[in-house]
Amino acid sequence: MAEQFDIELSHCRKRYGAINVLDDVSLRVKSGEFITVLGPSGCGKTTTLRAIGGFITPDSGHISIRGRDVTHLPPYKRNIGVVFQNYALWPHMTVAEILGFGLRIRKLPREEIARRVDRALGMVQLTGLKDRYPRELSGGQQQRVAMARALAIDPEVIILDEPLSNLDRRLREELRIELKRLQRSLGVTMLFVTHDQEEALSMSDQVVVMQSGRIQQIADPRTVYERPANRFVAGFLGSANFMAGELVQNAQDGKAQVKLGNGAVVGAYAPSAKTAGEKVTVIVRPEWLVLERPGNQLAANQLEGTVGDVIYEGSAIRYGITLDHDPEAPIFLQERSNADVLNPGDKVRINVINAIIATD
Amino acid sequence: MTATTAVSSGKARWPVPTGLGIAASCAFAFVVAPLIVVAGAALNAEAMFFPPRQLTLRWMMAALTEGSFVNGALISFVVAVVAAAFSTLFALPVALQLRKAPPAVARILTLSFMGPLLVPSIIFALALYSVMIYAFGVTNLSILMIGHVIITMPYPVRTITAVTEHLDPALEDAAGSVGASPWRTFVSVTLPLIKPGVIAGFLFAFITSWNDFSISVFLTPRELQPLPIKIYEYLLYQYRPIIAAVSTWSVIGSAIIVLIIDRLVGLNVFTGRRS
Repeated sequence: MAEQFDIELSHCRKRYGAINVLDDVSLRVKSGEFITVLGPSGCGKTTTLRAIGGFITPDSGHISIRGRDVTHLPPYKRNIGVVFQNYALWPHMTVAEILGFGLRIRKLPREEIARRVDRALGMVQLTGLKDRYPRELSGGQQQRVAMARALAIDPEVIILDEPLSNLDRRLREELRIELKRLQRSLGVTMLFVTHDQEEALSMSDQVVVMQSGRIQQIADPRTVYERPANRFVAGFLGSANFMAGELVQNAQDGKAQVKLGNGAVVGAYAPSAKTAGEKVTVIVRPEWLVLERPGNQLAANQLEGTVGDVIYEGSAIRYGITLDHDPEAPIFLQERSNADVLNPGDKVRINVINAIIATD
Repeated sequence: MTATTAVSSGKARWPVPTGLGIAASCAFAFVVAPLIVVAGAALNAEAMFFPPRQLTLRWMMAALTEGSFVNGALISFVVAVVAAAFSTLFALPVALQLRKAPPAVARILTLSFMGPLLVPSIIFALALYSVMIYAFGVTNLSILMIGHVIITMPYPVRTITAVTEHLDPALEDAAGSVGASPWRTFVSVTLPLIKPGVIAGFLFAFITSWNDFSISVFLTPRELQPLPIKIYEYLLYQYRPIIAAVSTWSVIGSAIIVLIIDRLVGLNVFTGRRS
């Protein structure tokens, strides 16, 4: 029997006027997985979520939940828990009424409703707030109620639309861990939409990176960060330096040697086969650059430059560096902040310890 | 701290009137004066004067027992309740649909629903009269109600759209997500949240129908005259303070309704959507 997926989108398209908001979107989520759809605003991530939830219907393509085609079903026939960005808690109901609403619709006996409301409240650690109205709750508590409402109906999957974006940083990080823990302990499949790359990297089993209605890459967090499929993914997740170079020999088994502008030769990962002599752009993360104290001989993988901006970030320190061979394209370098701090104007030598060949 | 409070409250006790304050007071007096004159006239003993020469509540009491006026008030009440109920009922789907229309279309449609306010009501009444005579050959109470539904509909459309504009569509999406059908969503989520606008619209429609003269004068059957027509006919032949007393009661009733509307608009703030 073919493997069954909890969420499956195949070739979904949606146009609004001249804009393709969903451009051939296909994705599969296994049972119990935490998948994040990540991208800048307008990339189609919320549209993807709304299509899964049934709030919009794709122009073409299919959506199925646990093998059942739901493409043309309205939201109320889908059994999907939804957590909205602004929580969308009904202001005229108490917490208990909000959580029990879906259960009353399902005509469950009263004791069963009370039991499940209590259980859902326990899961999000809100026991004792049953009789409060949403306006009497803090932002974090409202977020938990929204989460509990989605859990209470015992849904097949839960989809979350930037659920943490309205909270302050501290609380956001706290709830991130709590949400992930809850998801793992319940084993519930979650699809999480966000524009926050940190959220995506820290919580997900799989990350879907989208831009202009298209999926750019689907992979686990480490792969999208360390082996970005293209320039967009590299630039969107974390920061990336782009440097021009040329292949020294044919790229094979993902390995390549690239000669940079100053003649330095660095080892790089090549996602696709390339031939010697080809012009390429390499992606280098700021932490893949290591400062070297000036020595006599310039090593093969070294660059030289001058320190420009010095940005102290607490746990790390970032330097903007103007390269001697290409002053037009300054690069960023990141170092732990307990190292000696350099000053603007200092001459530096840099080891390139890792690089990836960019594809478009 | 105490000193500053004392100084500022001392200032507040004798405020120098500003231009704006004076203008606002004049406008207020201008609006309220007719009400005071009518109420004052109702307290006269014999003929209507203002200010009254001799105060008595006789006419105020008499107005409540005079059969012809009580009868007219009852008819007005029934017509106003039925007309306001129907115009609110019709306005509901209009307002809910306008919310989903593209903004430009919604603006044009909203304006067209204000139409009955733009046509001079006497002309509108005449037109309606000829249509009704052509269609039914008679006028009766239900035809008068139809007329009132048309002239009162702009109010509930306006008050309900005012509330739905601020209604977050995600609240309804959320209801759908936990399994509520569109009808269930409307009953359990949409309606409770727009209730203040619905009730305010109903009350505005009620007052408009209650006070209407020009539509009623054309469409009223002889034997079932609403209060404004009764007052008019009475004035054609007599000039006693009882007529001012009747008007005063009518104004008091309307004022109470306006207070309720104000209270409801205030209640709207307490539904907690803004936090």
